Amino acid sequence: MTGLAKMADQEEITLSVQGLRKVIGKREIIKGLDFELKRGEVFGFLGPNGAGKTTTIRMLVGLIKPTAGTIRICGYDLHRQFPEATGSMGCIVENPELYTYLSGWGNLQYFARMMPGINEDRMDEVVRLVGLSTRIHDKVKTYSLGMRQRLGIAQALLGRPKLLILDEPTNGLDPSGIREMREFIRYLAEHEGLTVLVSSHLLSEIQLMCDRVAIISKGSVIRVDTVDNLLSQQEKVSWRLTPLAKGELLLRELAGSAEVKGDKVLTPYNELEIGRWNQALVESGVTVTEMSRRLPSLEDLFLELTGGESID
Amino acid sequence: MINLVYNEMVKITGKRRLVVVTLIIAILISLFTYAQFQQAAENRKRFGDVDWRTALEQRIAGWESRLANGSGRGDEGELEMRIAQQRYYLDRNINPSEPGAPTFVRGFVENGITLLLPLMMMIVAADLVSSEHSSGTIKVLLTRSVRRWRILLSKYLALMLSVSIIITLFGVLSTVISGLVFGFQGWDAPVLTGFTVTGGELDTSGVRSLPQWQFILMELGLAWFVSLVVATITFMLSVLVRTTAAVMGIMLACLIAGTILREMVESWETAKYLFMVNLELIDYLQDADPPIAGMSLGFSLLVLLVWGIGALIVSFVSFTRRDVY
Amino acid sequence: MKGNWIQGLMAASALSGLIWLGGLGWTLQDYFAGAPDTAGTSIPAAAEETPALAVDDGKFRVVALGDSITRGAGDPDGKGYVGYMVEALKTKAKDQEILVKNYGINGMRTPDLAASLTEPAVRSELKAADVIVVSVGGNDLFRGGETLGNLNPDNIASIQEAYLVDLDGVLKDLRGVNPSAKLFLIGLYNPFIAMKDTKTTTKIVRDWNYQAAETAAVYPDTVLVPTLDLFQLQVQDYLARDQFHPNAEGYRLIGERVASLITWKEESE
Repeated sequence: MTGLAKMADQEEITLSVQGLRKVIGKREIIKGLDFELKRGEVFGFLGPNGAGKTTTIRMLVGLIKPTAGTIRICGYDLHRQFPEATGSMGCIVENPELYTYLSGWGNLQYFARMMPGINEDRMDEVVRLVGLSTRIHDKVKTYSLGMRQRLGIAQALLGRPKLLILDEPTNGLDPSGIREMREFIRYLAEHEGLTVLVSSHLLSEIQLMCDRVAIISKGSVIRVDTVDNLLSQQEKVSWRLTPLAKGELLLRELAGSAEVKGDKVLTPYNELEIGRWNQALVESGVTVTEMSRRLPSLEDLFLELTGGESID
Repeated sequence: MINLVYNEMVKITGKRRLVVVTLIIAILISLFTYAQFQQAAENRKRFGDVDWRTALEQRIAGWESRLANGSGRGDEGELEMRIAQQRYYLDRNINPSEPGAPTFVRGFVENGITLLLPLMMMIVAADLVSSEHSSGTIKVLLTRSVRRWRILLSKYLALMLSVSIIITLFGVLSTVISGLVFGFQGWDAPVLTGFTVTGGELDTSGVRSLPQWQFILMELGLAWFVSLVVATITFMLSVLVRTTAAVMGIMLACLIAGTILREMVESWETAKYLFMVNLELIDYLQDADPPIAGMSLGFSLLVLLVWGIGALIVSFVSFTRRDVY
Repeated sequence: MKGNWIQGLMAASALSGLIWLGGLGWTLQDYFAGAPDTAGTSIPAAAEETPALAVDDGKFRVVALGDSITRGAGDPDGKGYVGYMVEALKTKAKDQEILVKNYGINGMRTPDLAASLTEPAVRSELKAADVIVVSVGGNDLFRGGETLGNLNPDNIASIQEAYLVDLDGVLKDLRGVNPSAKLFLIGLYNPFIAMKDTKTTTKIVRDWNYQAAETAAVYPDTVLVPTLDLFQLQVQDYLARDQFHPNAEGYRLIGERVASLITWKEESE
């Protein structure tokens, strides 16, 4: 279930970025990025606006030429083997911009003609996958943003990519649309084995959907880690217990770790387990006088890491 | 590649560009046909009593007497051909001031080559690349597993196809519409060509006559070439400039500047290297002075060719190198 | 369905592209390969025009030099004043055989005329001529319409000055080639007499003619034939449709006036 477990199973690398730099004029926008994406993981790309997220994403999909560094997609060098590299990648950069004067189906046909080996069955398949079957023959200009987003994903999936790059995929969607998108991305990673790179400035979103996160600020990656790892340092439950020592011992056993801070015990937060822990404490005669969730999140971590740089 | 070109044609037709162009051409042709019809009626009213046949016979007789008494020094060839030309009208009972569709088409292509046809090409070419920028679809287009030069080449080939079909539409529409009013006679009427300018004087020694249908074909060939060059230059602007409106503006300024330059600056000699001064190719086939001394059909074709190739190179270099934001 | 339609369109476009490419090719072939072909045939024709001349064969020779007036532009029959002059001469002397050489070229200006006098064919004709008629100066003054836009006296004066120098050169040359022929210089008329600025334009033409006559007066047997008066009152009746050249009637007037100046006595002696 966790990203860590999956990484252990499959070490196949679908995207590798080494020493990526971009200089525009005299300004160094991207100052040497290194990271790797493994098969089947959802990788979050997090950073404030202006941190270089968009530039990096555009270099990854071949819209901007890097000043230095290599990008390999499924082993193909993006610069030297452009058709092969982009052939194993699907992407939506910012809003899904499509030809509004064509129908959804017309758009898919259009893209299908640019890739080898895509037939109508595959097109039907992706249309079903994104749930657009009823409206696919209408003109795209009549579509809502959510539908356009789905059609965008359909075109990105059309060529059976191994890597999906999504730039701000939930931008402009309503809450239910955001949830739908999130579930869909998880589905793709878990059931279709896709590697997904998602960029976002919304921490909550990244937190809910990604296995690993790279935090980028001022053109550099300042941290790459699993969401669990990052959060485990931050998200805690504090317990006020009597007697304290017994309770701490018990919690250490139950939650894996526990530390005493003042008159409270801090443990990692686990939504599913926490009720059981409480029950176990009570059953063994420890009185729980206060149990409060500390709500730190990536936000805190982010602020900590970037030294207070605002995220929006 | 054929799939890519097909895609571009889907977009061009999807945006109804060809329909717009066809409508504009059809409306203009109808307008001019009506105008010419009115003019013919007016002429008939004004000079109505003169029988055109006798006028023509007198004219021919005049030329023949000039031929006979040797006063047509050096122009004998031309005179003979003019006589043959007028005889054609006489023999086929066609009033030369009220000719059929072919003559209308001939004149219309002649007039359309400098502004109308280039404008039509502009409509198709202007947003070929820039619209992808302004609508953001350039991002989807360039992240396909196709190299950029192939994408641009497919666009250019689609443009060439569109230019060709527009010239065809132009020819067919003007024939059909004017033919309905004036009739379809006169396809093999002789047209004089082969005038050259040597030392500032019109040299008629090479004059010969061609059947009108061949002359129209040649005219449309030249119009095709001019249109293609204008389309290529517009295409380049479309690559360089991101908004379609700016492309149209620049191109319109160039074309209009061309018509003004042709009229005004015979004293500015270097103007002859500008593409927009060299659009009146058909005039070289007829007895008209070049706008600037030292220009000839070969010169103008060469200038246009150089501009076209230059524009194409700039387009490809810029398109394949540029970062897309 | 739509797909087939676009495929058809593409095929039609490609086909038309080929047709127009063919049209372009045909034009190039015709323009560049066609021209020398016919030029080749016209060269021997030009050669025939310059036979050696037997001067004393009793024929009356007229050589006409100059611009479109000499050429006869505007006359539907293309005779020009030279044609009507010869007609008038023929009625005067029925038995006399008259040979005419018309070297008029539309648009010719005085320097062009001076240059054309160097042609051997023209010189040999001139040498044998009994009468030389010259119409030149209209284009020097009119400049394709340019002068109408700038009627200020300084401009006119500078044009006129240049003309008089050139005219003097031409007359000197002509007199050098043939000192005995009667030389008639056709004066200018004012085709713009019915238009605005008529006072100015008429004055310019009158002055022009006067100065030309002064220049011609230096040379023997050289006459400036006035035409301004002919067109002064009923200009519309005598102008062709272009409102610039004379029509047949206008040319007849000029031709008859010149003819009236040619006397036969000396010739028949």
